[in-house]
Amino acid sequence: MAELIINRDKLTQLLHEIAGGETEVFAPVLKEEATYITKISQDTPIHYDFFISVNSVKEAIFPRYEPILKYKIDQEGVKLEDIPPMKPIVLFGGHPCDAASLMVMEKLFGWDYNDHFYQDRRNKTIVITLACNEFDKDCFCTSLGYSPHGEVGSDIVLESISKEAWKAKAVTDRGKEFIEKHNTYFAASDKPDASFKTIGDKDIPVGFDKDAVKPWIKENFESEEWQKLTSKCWSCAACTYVCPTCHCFDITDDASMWSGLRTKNWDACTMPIFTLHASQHNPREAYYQRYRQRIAHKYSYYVDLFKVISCTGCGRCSRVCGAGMNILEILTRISSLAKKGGK
Amino acid sequence: MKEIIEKAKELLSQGTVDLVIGYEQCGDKQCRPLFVQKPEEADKLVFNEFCVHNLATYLTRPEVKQTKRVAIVAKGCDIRAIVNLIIENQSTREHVYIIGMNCPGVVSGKAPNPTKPHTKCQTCKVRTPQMSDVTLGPTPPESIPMDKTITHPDVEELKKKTREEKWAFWREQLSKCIRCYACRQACPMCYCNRCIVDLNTPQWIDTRSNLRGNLDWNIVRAYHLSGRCIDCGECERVCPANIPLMLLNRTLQEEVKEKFDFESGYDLEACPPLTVFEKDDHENFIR
Repeated sequence: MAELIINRDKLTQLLHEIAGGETEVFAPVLKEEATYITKISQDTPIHYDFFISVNSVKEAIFPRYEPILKYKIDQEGVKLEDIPPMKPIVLFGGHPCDAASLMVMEKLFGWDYNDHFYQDRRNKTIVITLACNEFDKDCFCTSLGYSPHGEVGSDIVLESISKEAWKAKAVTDRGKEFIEKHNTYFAASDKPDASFKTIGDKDIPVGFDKDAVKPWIKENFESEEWQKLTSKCWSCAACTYVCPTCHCFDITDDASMWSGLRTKNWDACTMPIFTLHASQHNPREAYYQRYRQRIAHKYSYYVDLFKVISCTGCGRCSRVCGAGMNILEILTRISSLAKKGGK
Repeated sequence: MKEIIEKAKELLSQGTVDLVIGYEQCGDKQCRPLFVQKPEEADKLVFNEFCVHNLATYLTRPEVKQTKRVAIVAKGCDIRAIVNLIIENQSTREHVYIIGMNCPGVVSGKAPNPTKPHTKCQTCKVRTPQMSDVTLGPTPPESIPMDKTITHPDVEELKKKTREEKWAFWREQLSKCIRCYACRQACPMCYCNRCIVDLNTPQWIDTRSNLRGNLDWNIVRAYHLSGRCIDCGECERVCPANIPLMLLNRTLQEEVKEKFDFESGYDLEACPPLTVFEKDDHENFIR
C-alpha cells in the first residue's frame, strides 16, 4: 500500500462521522486542563495537543462498570433479560504503550474463562494509535522492550510528519480495510515538515533490567525493602484505575424483590477491602503488602502465567499518584538490588 | 533547607522521636512525602512552595501510631488537621512533635507544572503556625485575621445558580468519578477504620462508578466532613478525574460558619459542631 497521509481536520471529520453512526468512538478530549480518552459524539471537540491521557484506553474495552446479567421475577418464574450486544469501537488516541497493553490484558480475559464481554469488544475494536512525539521522566516503555513508535496491539499507527498531519501505517488487515473503506479522508504522500521533531527509542533511557525483577521478587517476598519503598503510599486505587493493564474486577448485585442487575466493576488490590475476609481477617492488612501485591502481580505472577509482564511502561501510575510513588524508581531499585544480590 | 535537616537529625539522634515525616524533592517542581527513621537519611528533607501535601494524613496509620513519638513537618493548614485529630481522639498532643513551618504559600495545579498559587493560601489565617513544638522558616507575609469571615468566589458563583443548574453541574462533575478513593486516602480527616463505602454486608453505598453510586459516595463524604474539613484541598489535588471537590467542601464550610460560627482546626478546645451536643442547641429535635 502506498504511504497515506491524514491531517487533523480530516481525521476529526472522519471520527465525527463514525461517531454519528452505530460505532462507538473513543478519542482524547480536554476536560479541566487534562486530557482523557473518552467516548465522543459527533460534535465533541477532539483534543490533539496532548502528551499522554490521564486515563488509559482500557476504559473502552473494559469499562468501569458493565451489566453482565439482568433478570425479572414474576408469577411464572425468573426471566433473564438480554444484555444489549456490543457495538463496534474505534479507539483513537492511545500511544504504543496503550495498544501493547491490550495484548497483555486479553491473555487474562481469555484464560480459564473466556470473558466474552471483553473479547466481543476487543474483537470489534479498531485501534488507531498515535506514535509518541514526547516523553517524560515517568515513561519507561523501552525498559520493557517496547518502543515509542511500536506497533504491537495497533491496527493503524499514525506517525506525525508535522504538527497537523500524520503518516498512516496499517499494521493489520483490519487496519488496511479501515483505511480503504474511508480512503477519501486520506491523501497521497505529502512532503514532511523537516523542522518537525519527534522522538526515537534511544531518547527514552532503559532504566532497569526487566528480567532481574521477577527472580528478586520471588526470593524477597519478606524483604524489609518493601516497607521502605512503599512507606508513603496511602493505598488508594488511582494507580490501578489509570493503569492500562490492571484488570481486577468485582461482581456486585443490585437486586430488589422482583428484578436484579449483576454488574462487573473495577476493583483494586491496593485497597484494603480487596482481600478482607468475612471473618474480618485481612491477609494484606498493611499498606506495603498491598503495594507489593501490585508489583508482584505485574512482574512475577502474571509472567508465570502468561509469559508477559503486565506493564507496558506508560508511567501513568507515577503521574497520577498524589503521594509521589514512582514505579520506575521502585523497579530500578529492585533491579539494582538483584544485581548486587541484595535483599 | 538546613534547619529542618538539623532539627530532624537532633530529634532522631537524641531519641526524642523515632520517625520524622517531611518532604523531599522529586523533580524540578515537585515534592513528595518522605519518611525518615535514621539521622543520616534526613539530608533529603526540604521545604518549599511545592510541599503542598498534608502529611497529617499519615498520623492515623497503624505503623505511625505505634511509634514512640513522631515528628511531622507541617504548615499552618496541616496543623489544622492535627488539631482536629487530637480533638477527635485520633492522636495526642504528646505523641506528635510538630515542626511548624512559616509558610508564604504553596502552589497548586497538576505536576509537572504546578504554577498557580493554591486557592487555600489566598484565605490563609495561619501562615505562622498556630501550634507547634518548633517553628522554622523566615517570617511569612501577614495572615488573614482570625475573626474575618472567609468567602470563596467559586462558592458565590455556585450559589447564584438555580437548583436545576446546580443539579446539572454536579451530575456532570460527579459522573467523572472513577471511585479510586484517592480523595479519602489523601484526606487527613478520613480515618474511619471501615469507611461506609466498604461496609458490604449489606452494601450501603453502591460501589459502581455510575451516577447513583458516585452521588452517594461524594455526598456522604462531603457531609461527613462538614464542620471537620480543614480546607487543605488534598482531595481535589489528588483526584484523577479533576472533580472540584473543594467547591463542595467549601460550600459546607461556609454553611457551618454561618449556622454555628465555627471554623475547624484552630482551637484544641473547640469541638466540631456536628460532633457535640449543647443544651442550648437551636435545633429542638434533638432535645
